[in-house]
Amino acid sequence: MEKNVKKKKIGWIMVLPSLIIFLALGLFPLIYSAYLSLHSYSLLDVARGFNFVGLNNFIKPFRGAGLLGITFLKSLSITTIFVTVSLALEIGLGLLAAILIGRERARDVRGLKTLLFLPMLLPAVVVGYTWSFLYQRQYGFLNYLLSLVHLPPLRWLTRPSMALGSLIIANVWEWTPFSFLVLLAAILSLPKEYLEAADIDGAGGWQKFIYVVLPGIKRAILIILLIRGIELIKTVDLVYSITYGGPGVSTRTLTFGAYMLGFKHFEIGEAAAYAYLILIPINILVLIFLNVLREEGR
Amino acid sequence: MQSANIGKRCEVTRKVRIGIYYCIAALYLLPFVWIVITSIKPAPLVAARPPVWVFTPTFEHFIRLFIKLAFLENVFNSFIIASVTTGVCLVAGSLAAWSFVKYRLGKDFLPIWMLSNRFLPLVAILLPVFLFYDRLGLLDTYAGVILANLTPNLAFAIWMLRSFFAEIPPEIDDAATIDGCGDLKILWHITIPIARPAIAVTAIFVFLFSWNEFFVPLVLTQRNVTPVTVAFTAFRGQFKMDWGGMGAGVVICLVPLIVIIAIFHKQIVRGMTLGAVKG
Repeated sequence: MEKNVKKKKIGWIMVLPSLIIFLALGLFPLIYSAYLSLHSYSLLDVARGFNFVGLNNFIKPFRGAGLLGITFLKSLSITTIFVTVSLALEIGLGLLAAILIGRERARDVRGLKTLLFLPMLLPAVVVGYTWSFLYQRQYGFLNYLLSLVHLPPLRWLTRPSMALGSLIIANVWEWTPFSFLVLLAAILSLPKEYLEAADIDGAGGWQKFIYVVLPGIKRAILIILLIRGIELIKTVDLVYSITYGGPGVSTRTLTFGAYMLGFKHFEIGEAAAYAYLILIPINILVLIFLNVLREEGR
Repeated sequence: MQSANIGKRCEVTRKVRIGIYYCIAALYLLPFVWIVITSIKPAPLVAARPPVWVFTPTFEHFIRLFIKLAFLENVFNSFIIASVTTGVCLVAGSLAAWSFVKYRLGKDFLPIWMLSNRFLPLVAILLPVFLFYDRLGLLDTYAGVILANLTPNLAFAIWMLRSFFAEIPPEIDDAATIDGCGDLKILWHITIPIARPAIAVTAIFVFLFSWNEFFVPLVLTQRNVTPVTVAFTAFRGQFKMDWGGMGAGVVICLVPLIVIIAIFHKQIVRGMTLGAVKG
């Protein structure tokens, strides 16, 4: 018994460095952020002082456009479109590719898989600037392709109604390989007997997909939805490098808005409150994800 | 005879199919091909309309990148930041992960709380961190960027290592204990050598994540320790972009990545899903 207590002590000592890091650089800033969110404080106008304003900073984004030029709800709807359309395309295209490639022999497609790692492992700003080059109106590659088929050039980044779409295309391009590779791994690990049994029962392609493949990859799809959903809400680099929230406010997502409030307008209190509002949808997804991981009973 | 013929025909259609898949993949990667071509294009032709395909290759963009823009310094900064972050995450991470597996400390709560740090929106954390750094003189220092990088990356490292360590059969440890090995000795002489491939994968990912990190250094660096990702923003001038220079920068980022992927392609899916899917 005494030996056990001593062992536990060694265990705690080993956890200590990590514990200190998470307390000092995770939990403490988060709590301090909550404290900041109740105050009005600007780094550009220090004379204004550090004043308690209650929940004002939380209400303000809903009341009017404010410094960001966009209300919270409008920005939320932009973010929602960005996240849901991206997710649908990433998973839809990834699943299609995984089903096609999953039927081939592993060694035929090994090189293919390796090539597809590139977009998602490069820094997102690199992907972003690459796409903004392709999107250029005058000399961009995409408008050149359009001109080859005698179509008029598009204003990919300068037309407010197109910019969000252009952002989604670049994002889907970067991240579809992720869902493709995860779904491929899931499909390849399906028990062969199930598919053979379905064949013997005379199931057609569609039936096999709906009744055998889909249930087998349900968990993989859920994991992609959660991981990518969280990351999409947090996306800053792509917005920063492709549209910078513009034109106007047409691609001003929530996280980019919080960045602008905090590090462009230096309204520390407002930015902290804004960041806390973003924490709500993220935390919902994180809690589901952590439950999925825990259910595995590791 | 008949069946041999059918077999041959299947073989041919299979090859055609694979060929088509590779063509689609090549088209898919066209943006990179285009940017790589741009990086060796003479400056006046970079924004030509229609695009020029035939030209004498030049290294002027690479030379400008290294001499005028001091891009190598940025590469060096990224390298320092990413490797120290990786080192700290591996040491602190393996200790914590191992004690979670071995002593089941804090049951499920502690590891899960630690993992949840991976998903915190950085904006929420970086505001106070920025204010503290300003007071402590940590803005625009390696230490500052590395410390801020630790939160998401250590969370990732602990979680990955924990799932890898849990796969090692406990009988091995028990045998060592009977032989009179202390716990730290077991970790150092048995667990770590067995888990070496897993540790390598974790290291590669932490390195990549901190190499790719944009938001943390964007906010916390000014000039002295600017990494590659933030240096890319310098290609955007007041009125126009330096696309040639940017292309050269992309090429410099691509080369080490291709090497990494070629070596570790088997473990990438597992890393990207925090171990939830084994590739």
